[in-house]
Amino acid sequence: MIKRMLEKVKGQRPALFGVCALYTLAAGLYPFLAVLLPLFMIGELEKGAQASLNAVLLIAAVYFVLAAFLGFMRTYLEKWSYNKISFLRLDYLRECCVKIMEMAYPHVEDASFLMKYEKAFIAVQSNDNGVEGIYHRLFELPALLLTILILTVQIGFLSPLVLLGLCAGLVCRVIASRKSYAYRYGKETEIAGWRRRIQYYSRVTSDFTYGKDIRMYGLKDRILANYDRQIDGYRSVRALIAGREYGWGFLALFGLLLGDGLTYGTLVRRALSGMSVAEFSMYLTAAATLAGCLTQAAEKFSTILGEGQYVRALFDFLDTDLGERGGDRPACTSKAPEIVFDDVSFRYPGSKNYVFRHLNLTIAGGEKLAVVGVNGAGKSTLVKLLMGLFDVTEGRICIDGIPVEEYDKKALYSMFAPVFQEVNAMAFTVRENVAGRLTDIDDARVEDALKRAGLWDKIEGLPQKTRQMVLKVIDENGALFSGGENQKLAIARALYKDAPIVVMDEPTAALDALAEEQIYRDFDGLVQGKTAIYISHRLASTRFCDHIALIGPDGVEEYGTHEELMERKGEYYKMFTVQGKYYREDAADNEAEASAWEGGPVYE
Amino acid sequence: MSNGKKMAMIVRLSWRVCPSYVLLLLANTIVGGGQILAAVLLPRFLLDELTGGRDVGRLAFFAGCIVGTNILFDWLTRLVKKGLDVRSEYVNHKMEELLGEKIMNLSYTRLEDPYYLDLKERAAFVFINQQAMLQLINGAGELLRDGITLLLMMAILLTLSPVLLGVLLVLVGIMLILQKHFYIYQKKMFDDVLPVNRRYNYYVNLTTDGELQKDIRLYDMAGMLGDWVVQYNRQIMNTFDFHYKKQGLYLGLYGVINDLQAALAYGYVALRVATGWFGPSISLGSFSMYVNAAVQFSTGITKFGDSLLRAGQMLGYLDPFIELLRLPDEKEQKEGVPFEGEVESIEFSHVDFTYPGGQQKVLNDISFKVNKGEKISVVGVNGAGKSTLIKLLCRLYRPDSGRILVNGRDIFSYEYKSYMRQVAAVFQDYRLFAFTIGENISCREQGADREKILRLADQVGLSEKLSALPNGIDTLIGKEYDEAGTELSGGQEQKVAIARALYKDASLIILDEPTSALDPMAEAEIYENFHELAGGKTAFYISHRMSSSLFCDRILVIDGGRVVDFDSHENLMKKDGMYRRLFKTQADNYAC
Repeated sequence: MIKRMLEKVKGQRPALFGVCALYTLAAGLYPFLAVLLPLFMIGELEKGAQASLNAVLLIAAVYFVLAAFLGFMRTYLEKWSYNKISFLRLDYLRECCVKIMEMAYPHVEDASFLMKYEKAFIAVQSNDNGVEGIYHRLFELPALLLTILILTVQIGFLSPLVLLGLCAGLVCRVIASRKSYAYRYGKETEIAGWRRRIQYYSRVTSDFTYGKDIRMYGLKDRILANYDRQIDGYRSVRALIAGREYGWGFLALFGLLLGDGLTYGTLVRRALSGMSVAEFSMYLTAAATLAGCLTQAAEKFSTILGEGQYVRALFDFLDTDLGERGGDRPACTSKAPEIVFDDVSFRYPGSKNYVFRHLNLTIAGGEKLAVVGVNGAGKSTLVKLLMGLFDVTEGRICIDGIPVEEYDKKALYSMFAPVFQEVNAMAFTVRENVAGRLTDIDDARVEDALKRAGLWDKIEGLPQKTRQMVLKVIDENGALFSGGENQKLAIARALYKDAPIVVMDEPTAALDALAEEQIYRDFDGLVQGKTAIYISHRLASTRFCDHIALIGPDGVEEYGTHEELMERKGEYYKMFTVQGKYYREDAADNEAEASAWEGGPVYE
Repeated sequence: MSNGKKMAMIVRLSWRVCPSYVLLLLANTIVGGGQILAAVLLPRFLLDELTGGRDVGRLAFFAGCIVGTNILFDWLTRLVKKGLDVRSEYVNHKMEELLGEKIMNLSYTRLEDPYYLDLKERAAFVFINQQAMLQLINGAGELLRDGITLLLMMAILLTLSPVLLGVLLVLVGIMLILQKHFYIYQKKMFDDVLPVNRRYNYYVNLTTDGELQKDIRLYDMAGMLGDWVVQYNRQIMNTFDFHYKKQGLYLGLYGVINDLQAALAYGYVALRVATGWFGPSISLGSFSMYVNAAVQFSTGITKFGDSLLRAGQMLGYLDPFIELLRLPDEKEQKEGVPFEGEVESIEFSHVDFTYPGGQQKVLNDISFKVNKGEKISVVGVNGAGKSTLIKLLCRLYRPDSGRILVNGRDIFSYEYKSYMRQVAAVFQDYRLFAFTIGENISCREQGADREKILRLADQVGLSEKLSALPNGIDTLIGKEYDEAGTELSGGQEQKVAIARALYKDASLIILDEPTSALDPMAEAEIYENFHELAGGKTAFYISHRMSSSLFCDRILVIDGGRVVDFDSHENLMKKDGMYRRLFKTQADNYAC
């Protein structure tokens, strides 16, 4: 793991190795000045009346020059490299983000996936933990080890007993801290649960879109009470951990007693047998410095070990094949591919219930198919399967005769121009939103797409036209769109993509009658001979499609043209008449409108 | 606001959410200061004994004292740390809760104003970025501890030589000047980098946003988002690169001054031992004590300066948080007449309304009157002002001019809670909470009427879903909060929201696009049950499904913020107006 991390440094910031070496020299030697100064100074003073004033001043001056030089180097180099190290973390963060955006889609909807890799994401979150935490420690450790090495030799020559005491003390401290760390680590899942719930309330209370309902239903006190409960719950876990740590602290105290006791004992004994005050002082300082360095080094090792678990989780996440590749077939070349669902059954991963079973359906190249069904019938699921966002449980789906899983994932995605139910404009410029990229944007096509989606008038009214930023997050002059306008933006994006299969998933749910009608009317123009799937529970939309498939738990339950299905007087007929009857009942009362309903099925 | 005041505010807030934490920080200060004091004072006796009599008993005693106090202070430190550990994150969470509480107390008007949305995002930053709030709270304790240590050391040095202390203080003065320069530069640099950092965070969060993952894959946007992340990364990194080099330079210089202080102290104190030039000669033990005091003083200064710098940096993040916390709460609308009885009549009288910061009037001279029990459909194209009208009626906004009268009185003259008891609404962008289904409907944890919940759930068509859940209405909504929760579909959520509005027992009920996510069967069910569901309540119904108007007594047609018609369906269909056009457009689709 460390090796892999260091290789990254070698590849990206090799200069860090050199800087680290210099830092090690400066920071490793600096503590000696404080150890040696009392030796020389008190040594000189011990001479009593013979003490040379020049020597005293010289010692002070030499100390200053050396300390200033080494100290400055140490501080400057540490700061210099700090940011370079942070950059290494951000590089991992980017890799993580890309991985998330490319991994197979089911993981996105799988809550347990995020739990599983939570540690991987923690590893790239902060300056002091995970990857960056380890890098910083690796940078500082060699200097510490250098100091420790020299001091060990120095003290070892004086008295191995002192060394032994210091080491025993260290062992006690290390055990204490490892034990408390292990205890905390065991509580990690519980902590994550509390944190997640606290975060939920933090979001609900601060997300303005919850504001109306909180006020309307007087939920403020209720939410705060729950929020408090979570915070208190978290606190009680923290209390357990802190209590445990405190308990183990007594072992550390014993270690301190051992180290200090042996040091002072030995030195006092030596002093009685004639050790000079200067040496006494020096060894005292040396022992204290060594104890400090040992503790620091142990802490750093311990952190590296502890944070290593997170980094390992990160590497695991980055290395595991999460289905981002798919097969190796390139995208199909036909302008309007044929789609075949062959005996497809599907249930969501981890669910026992099938969404539908044995679904058979053929969409000829260039055909427009309407998919209808009640809520939960699996209409959206159907297109998710088609687009390779989920894999079928049984059966297979072929596009132009090739099963979808054999296509390279990116190639497969490139074959679709979908407009989803929920529309998400992002804080990019209008043209970037339409083109889905930052460079190589064909502005003529952006304009054409916006015109055909019926959004051009609005865009032309913006101060910076297509270069206007959307949303106010990034640019306070960003444009805000209404639900309908967002929908049109999404349609423009689909048009710009110009892919051979068009998928519309409830694109008019948020639109008023006139805007909806316009989308219906323009649908042909939007599709332009491509293969198209239109999902809607507004059954009126079916009249501009070639065929209608009504799906349910048993797959395609009814299939045919509008006329055929009305003829059958089945489920579709029922749904259509239920939805249409209100428009029709009215016709009876209103002779002026009667002509509009001619030929409609008689209801009631 | 000055940094001192901000710091004081943080301490005050900490005291408010957890007094024991502030006390522990004080205890930490005392322990920390005591530890250093002991380390400076005690070795003197040992060294004096060494230069003097070297008596075994006395040597052992002094050494024992040193070891003993070391252990005592180590134990005390651990004891205090235990208390602090338990509380530090607690205080941080509590502070974040304060922010949330504040937002819930704000007047709703601010919640749709982009300025406050932005302010909130920036305010929340102290909790996201580098745990600034936590650092600040802990930093306050450190500052105090370092400050007290400094005073103690100065007191010790003063007993030796005011001149030495004076020289050291001059050097401190130089450091402070350096620090101030650096601080000014740093503040500017953080002001510059903060917006960039915020953007960076926005794009990073986009990449992991679950709702965007479909779009990202199908429109191959991973590259674009990745590019943005990298680009902002570079920008931030370049700025910080410069910053850290500068910081290295400054801190390096402080170090040099520190070393100079140490060297001067050593030199001077040594001269005091060796000569009588500057005063009476002192012992080696005193030498060690004074030198230690001077070293502690100069390292203390550096630590203090460092803490100060960091606090300054963190305080820089704090402004939006403070600004938000200082916004006035929505007035405790206790004053006013208590609303009694039911809603008998609603009248809009020449109501004008423009959103705060908006340019165009959303509502323009709206006047109409509705009587008790009437079912009113509000119709108009997207952006006509339908939802705004509803928000005004719910007292989320005040009209700019004109009045809204309920039972003949201006709605704002009623006591807030008693008025709101009479109003229930399903907003277009309604939200459910991570409570159980039953609690989402009743909006109360205890004392809910289970019978009523079940009856309503049945009426809105939820019973099928409920019977599939082992815990029925006691099932938690959503998995984000708890693994055991259940995810509801859009249609099911809408049904829960409708049941919630009905449970409230208000005499005025408002449904804004309540069936957009429902399939035809479920929609028809709601339509047909609408009279039964709403009972004798006065109701407003907004929908793009024109057929829904048929269930309403009268239709309020709004276009461009004005009332264009207010009449029954039959009458409106006879006119060649907006309503007929909308209705016909949709009806044609069902004409086979």
